[in-house]
Amino acid sequence: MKKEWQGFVLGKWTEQIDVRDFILKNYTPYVGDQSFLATATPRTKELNAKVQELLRQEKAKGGVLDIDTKSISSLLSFAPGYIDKDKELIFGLQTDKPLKRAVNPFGGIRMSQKSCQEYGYELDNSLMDSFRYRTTHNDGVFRVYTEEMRKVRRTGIITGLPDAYGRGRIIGDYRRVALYGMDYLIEQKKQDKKNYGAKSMTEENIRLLEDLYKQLEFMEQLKTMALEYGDDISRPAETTREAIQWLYYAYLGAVKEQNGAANSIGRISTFIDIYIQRDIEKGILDESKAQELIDDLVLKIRLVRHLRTSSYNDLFAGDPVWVTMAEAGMTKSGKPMVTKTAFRVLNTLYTLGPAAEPNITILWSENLPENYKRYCAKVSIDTDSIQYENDDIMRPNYGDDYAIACCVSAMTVGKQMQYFGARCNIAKVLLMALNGGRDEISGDQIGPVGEVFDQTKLDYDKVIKAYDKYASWMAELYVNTLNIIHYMHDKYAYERLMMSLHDTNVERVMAFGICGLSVLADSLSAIKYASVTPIKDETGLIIDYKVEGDFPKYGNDDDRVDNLAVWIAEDFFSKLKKTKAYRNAVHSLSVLTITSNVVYGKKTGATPDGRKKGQPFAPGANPMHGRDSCGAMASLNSVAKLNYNCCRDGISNTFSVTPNILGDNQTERIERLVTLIDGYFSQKAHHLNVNVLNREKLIDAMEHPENYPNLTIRVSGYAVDFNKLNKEQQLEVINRTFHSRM
Amino acid sequence: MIGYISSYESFATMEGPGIRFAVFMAGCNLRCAYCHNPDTWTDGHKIDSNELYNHIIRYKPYFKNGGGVTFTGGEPILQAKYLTDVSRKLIADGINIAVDTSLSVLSDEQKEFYTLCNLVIADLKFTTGKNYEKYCKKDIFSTAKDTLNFLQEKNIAVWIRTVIIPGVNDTKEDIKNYYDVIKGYKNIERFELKPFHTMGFEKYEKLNLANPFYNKADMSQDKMEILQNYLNELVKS
Repeated sequence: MKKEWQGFVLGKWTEQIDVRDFILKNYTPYVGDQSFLATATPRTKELNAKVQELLRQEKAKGGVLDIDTKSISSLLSFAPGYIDKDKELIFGLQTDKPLKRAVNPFGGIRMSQKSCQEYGYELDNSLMDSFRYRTTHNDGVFRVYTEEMRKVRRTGIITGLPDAYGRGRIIGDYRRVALYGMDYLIEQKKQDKKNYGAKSMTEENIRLLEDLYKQLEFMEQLKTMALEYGDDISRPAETTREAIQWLYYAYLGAVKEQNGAANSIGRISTFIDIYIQRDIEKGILDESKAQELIDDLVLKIRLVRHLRTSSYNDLFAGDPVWVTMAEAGMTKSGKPMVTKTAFRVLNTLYTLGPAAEPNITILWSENLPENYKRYCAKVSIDTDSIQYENDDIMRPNYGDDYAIACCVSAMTVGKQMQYFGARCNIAKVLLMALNGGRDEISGDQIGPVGEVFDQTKLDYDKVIKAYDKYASWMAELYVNTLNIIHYMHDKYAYERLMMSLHDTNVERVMAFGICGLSVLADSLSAIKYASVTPIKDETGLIIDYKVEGDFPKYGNDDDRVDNLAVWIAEDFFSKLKKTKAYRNAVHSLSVLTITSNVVYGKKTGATPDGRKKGQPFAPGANPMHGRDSCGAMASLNSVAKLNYNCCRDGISNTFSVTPNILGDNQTERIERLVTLIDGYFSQKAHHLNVNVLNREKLIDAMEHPENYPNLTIRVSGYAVDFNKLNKEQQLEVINRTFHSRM
Repeated sequence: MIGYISSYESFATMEGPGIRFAVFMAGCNLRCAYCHNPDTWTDGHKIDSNELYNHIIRYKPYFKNGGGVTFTGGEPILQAKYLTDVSRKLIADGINIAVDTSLSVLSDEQKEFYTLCNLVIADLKFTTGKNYEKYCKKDIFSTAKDTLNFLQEKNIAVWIRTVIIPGVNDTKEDIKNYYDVIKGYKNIERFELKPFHTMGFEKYEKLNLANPFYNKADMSQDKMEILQNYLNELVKS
């Protein structure tokens, strides 16, 4: 037994890598309330003030404080960086200075060059030269893309594809570094390499062996990186500070190495709590110091940055990094996994103030302790910074040691990884079907040539038949496009450190996505229940629709249209599964838009539901703005009908209520919000973003941003600093349905 | 059985405890000058009681912590037989029943329905028959008092709710008069003063109805606070 494990209950986790076993044998459940929590110490306040000032400067400079244009981001390319070395408890920044961004050209050098230029910087020549003869992920993809793939990408039927930036959505099991130390992990990987080396050298096995080589190389580098900060992580962590620090070094190494869209930190609070509990019992830590350590980790997380282009920001607004941190949930045997540290993490929204990161995600179960549920509701009401996902439907599929990548994607930590696939605009697929394969905006022939519908009342059955043809074509093309992207990503931008913190024999999931679900459901409903007549331009292209009569709209708990929405997702998923995914990945699907619902709307012509050309879509699986007119519960009931079994990558619902509809006082508000979340999730719904605020506040914040330096709101699976959204995105958020008193 | 319904609100929170499904029943026997739901004066949609039951039951997951259904309107108790029919079915599913009424009718039908209710939200509008006549076009004051007596006799919980209108019933003396009417009832759990607001004015315009209080402004918050404090003193003493 290692000396660092003294005081822990031993078990099979000491014989092999098994963090889950360690947690289950050692964690202390907590059912009490938040009264034990400590407030911010003077140290925390001073350090936080420095960070707040840096954030203010960053905003004032147009969003980017500084860029190092000479170095390529990696584990060892920057000297250690500090905010204020003497005051910090947890060390480590991506570069040598806080908020200075690094260049990460592995996805594509042109993207890096463009990002620098957009913020008034020029990429250093030596760096350009060193990449001149090097194939990037982006180069690889475009060598193979077909003409058809380029076309669908250009028109935006598929958008946000990770073909020029890191795919992200991979969660290393950073806890392993703290629990076992690097030397043991390295030893295990070497053993794996030996075992796979004894197998026959198929293409698959050779690729895996090269992967292992790359992993081992970066595991050594991580040790060196930590040593530069003065810590020897070759051994396990011995104290709480070390556990948090080791874990954070591993995460830091991962975000230095690659710039994926979303880099979650995993499910760490119960794990950390075990160390805190041990140190408190030993008498070497008190509540205030424990909170300080959590505060310091969260402060570091709030400084994680990647260099992005403005077109990227249009899709993923507000400069998010999705350091998603999942907590709570139940064990498989039905015990709540809430510890005091689950409260301490939420408490950072008070000790440090509200913020978008980390993306705190509550794995909600009906059976979580009531005190914890109430505290979560209070935090939502006070800060609009956290989100909820239904542990009771995820646990049967992912066990009790899964975490959330990005907004809503569950994966078992260290055992599953994801090939992120952005999303397909299915509303646009319908328009293409009606136009015989032509794009309704450019008029270009994109899909296979088909029959163009006449300017007479659309026949529902005929429309469904045409949609079926184009959706099938789209699904096959979509899978094939992603296969190329991930083949090249594995080849040229493999996540060496993150994957070294996974089991070697990892399960791969390919995550597809759809957007425009509510637009398509309402469009089909209009065609079915009202009268819709296409309007063509002089070239014979359908550019608009005349809608006569009323029709049921998604979001009002009306089965006539809600069942269409359910069918759309199920049908598209079954179409996707017909094409084999790269590296035997399992198909999954999400109904999620991030903030790209605005961009998607912009790239989509008028639709048969009466939506005008260019108007934003609703986010995620939400009903269209203002069309849910029977109140909040009806709206929730509609979304709850979507079938999670075909949308395991997540069904995102963003929900805004005014404070006064929840109740006249805080106690009533908390109680109603808890009841609402319980009620929604008891119907097997998957995800809920909760905002409790008034529209007037957002309008005022648009006009007087200086009065709202930290206004955080939930948008679509993540939180955002409202003032980092562009004007269009702000207006779209304001136009969303706010459930209020009549 | 057929009832007449104006609309639904699936997330009602003012009409009783917890999260409530509010059914706005169509039709009213009063014509209050300050009505904020004049859209319920018309005939509404014909809805079968089974259909209404099936609709409400979908919201059962949200009815924890005292939530349930609230019949409001309009004057819901005009359709007491229908409400009895629907409520019996809902009660079999353990759903909490509340009604929001002006206490304007009281016969056996209403009595039967009231006994099924967990809560009666009583909109006590005025304290004299004259004012009822003047502002509601009908004097139902004695019926309202009879109803309160009946509810006390049956030990049914009551919340009194009164809208305070600028220049009509916004003095301390008015508050004292309300208090004198309701003091002594053991089943009255709350007495809430609600400020008159102009938010319902749009509905008058939309429905092309004359709005008798078109020139009134929102009740001031400061004044509401003074009245509320005064009421709290009365209750304490």
